[in-house]
Amino acid sequence: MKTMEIVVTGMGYSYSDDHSVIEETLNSIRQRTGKTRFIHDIEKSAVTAVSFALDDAGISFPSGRDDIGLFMGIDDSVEDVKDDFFRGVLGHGIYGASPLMFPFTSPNAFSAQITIVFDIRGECVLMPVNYSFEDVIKYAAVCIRNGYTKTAISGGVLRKGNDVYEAGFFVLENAQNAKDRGATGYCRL
Amino acid sequence: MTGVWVTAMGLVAPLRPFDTIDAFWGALTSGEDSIKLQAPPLLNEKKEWLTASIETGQALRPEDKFFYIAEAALKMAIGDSGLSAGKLQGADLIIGSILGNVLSRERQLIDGNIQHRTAEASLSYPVRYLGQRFAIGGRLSAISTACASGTDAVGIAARSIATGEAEVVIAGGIDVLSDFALAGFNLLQALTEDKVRPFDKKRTGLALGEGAAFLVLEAERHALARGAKCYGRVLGYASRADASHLTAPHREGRGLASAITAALSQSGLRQYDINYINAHGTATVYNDLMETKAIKLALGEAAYTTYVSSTKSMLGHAFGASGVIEALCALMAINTGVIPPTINYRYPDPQCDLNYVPNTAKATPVGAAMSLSAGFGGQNAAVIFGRPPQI
Repeated sequence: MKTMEIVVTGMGYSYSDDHSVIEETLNSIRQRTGKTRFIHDIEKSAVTAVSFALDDAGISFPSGRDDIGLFMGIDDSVEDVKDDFFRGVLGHGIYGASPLMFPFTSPNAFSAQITIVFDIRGECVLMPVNYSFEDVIKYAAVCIRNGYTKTAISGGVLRKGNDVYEAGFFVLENAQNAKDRGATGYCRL
Repeated sequence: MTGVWVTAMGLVAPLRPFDTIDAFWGALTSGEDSIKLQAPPLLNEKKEWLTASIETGQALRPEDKFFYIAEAALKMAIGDSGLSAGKLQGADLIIGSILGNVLSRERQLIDGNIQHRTAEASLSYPVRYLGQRFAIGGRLSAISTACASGTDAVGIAARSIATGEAEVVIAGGIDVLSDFALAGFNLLQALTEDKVRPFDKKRTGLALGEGAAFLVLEAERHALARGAKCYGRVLGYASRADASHLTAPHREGRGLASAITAALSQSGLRQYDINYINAHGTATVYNDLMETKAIKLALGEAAYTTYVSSTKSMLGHAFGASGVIEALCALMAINTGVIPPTINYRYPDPQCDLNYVPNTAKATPVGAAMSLSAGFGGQNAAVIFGRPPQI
């Protein structure tokens, strides 16, 4: 493995039950990006946490950059959405499926929404995980070390209970890149 | 990207039951169409749908099909690799899937079992189950990047080897036909009621399919040391986000063009060196136009001399499995010098103006081939393969 130093320059966390924090943040995001519609609590939590992480790292958005990648993990949270969608089909037949909900039955809908809201055009990976996001963060680090991406937003969403989710993301970048733009690192990876 | 060999392949796909990849390839390159009208798997609906389903020849419950085809394809790949149990103990496994064993959860919900979700429904379960079942002892990872899942699994596996993280990685894709997916794609009006006609002016949409496919990727020195055969080398891979729309592709193919350009740059090849592209080619109006634009944007004038075909015209769209199935097709094109056709092609679309290998396979040497995937959420992936050293 290459030995390029990687630093954490931003962190963001959100909890879906913190409605006022999430709504206030989403309103601010709407003003900054023009993106107006957020549907699912998983999406709202993830977008909020990423906005905190980007602001913390001093990375402006919308980004429009393909050297920033998103590396996201998700546990079985998405199964809740799939259940809701299929119950609609069972209730009303195959033509009773919800057009609003179907896109969110694919787990990468949540990573996709993040790329759309913040205009992140680089590497984009969604890994279903059991409990830990270790593999997601390791892969992000491999991608930075080997030049596949310059900066990585890495983290994920966990289900904490019925319709309750928490999201956490880090901004990782190579140390030289962080130094060049005057960013402060929390720690080395 | 250097030093990454594909040393084995395994596949279960529609058309008909196959014992070997060669038999599958023979049927595919002769233009066999597996798509026909069929009832949905579990729901008691009167309507039949054009789908490409796998006939297992076994008395299986629909909810057992996912692991049946997964095990059969993985067994074929492991058998083809000649890897010992000891080597498998050190191998990694990475699997791409969009819906996992969705029929298992469908069955539970149909039976009224709403509260208790079994572990089998989890998207992270298949890789854990198959790792244990085949005693694959390395890192077990799942990928779910919509229709790019399989291509991303292959690409991430290749990076693991190229960066020295692993010596052997088995990369696969698995998905099955479900009532769930039929309902969803029907909502989007993406399903054809005609034939699947990729890049044709009168294309009307896709047919859903299913499949399981695995490639064994290996560090060159590791493969050489054990005398393994080589189907091809992985030369480049990239993933890119459109950052545009949740269900529709970026109209100008921005993300896919960027993925192709990045993969090409990694490969060290020039635009004219790519002889064949296995396209995502779903036969939806927007995908095929976007993909044509992306190929032209990335390859420039070379786009017009590169053969581009869609095997989905014969196999349907196998979701997360399609990327691995199509990577396998790209490798077979290199190995056999035959490019599979785009069948059901009748009317040229002036906006889709590349060489789509219409209706009949093309015999021609293929030095380098690329496989493309594009999915929901603006997921794009490109992987490039080169000739094995012996041909």
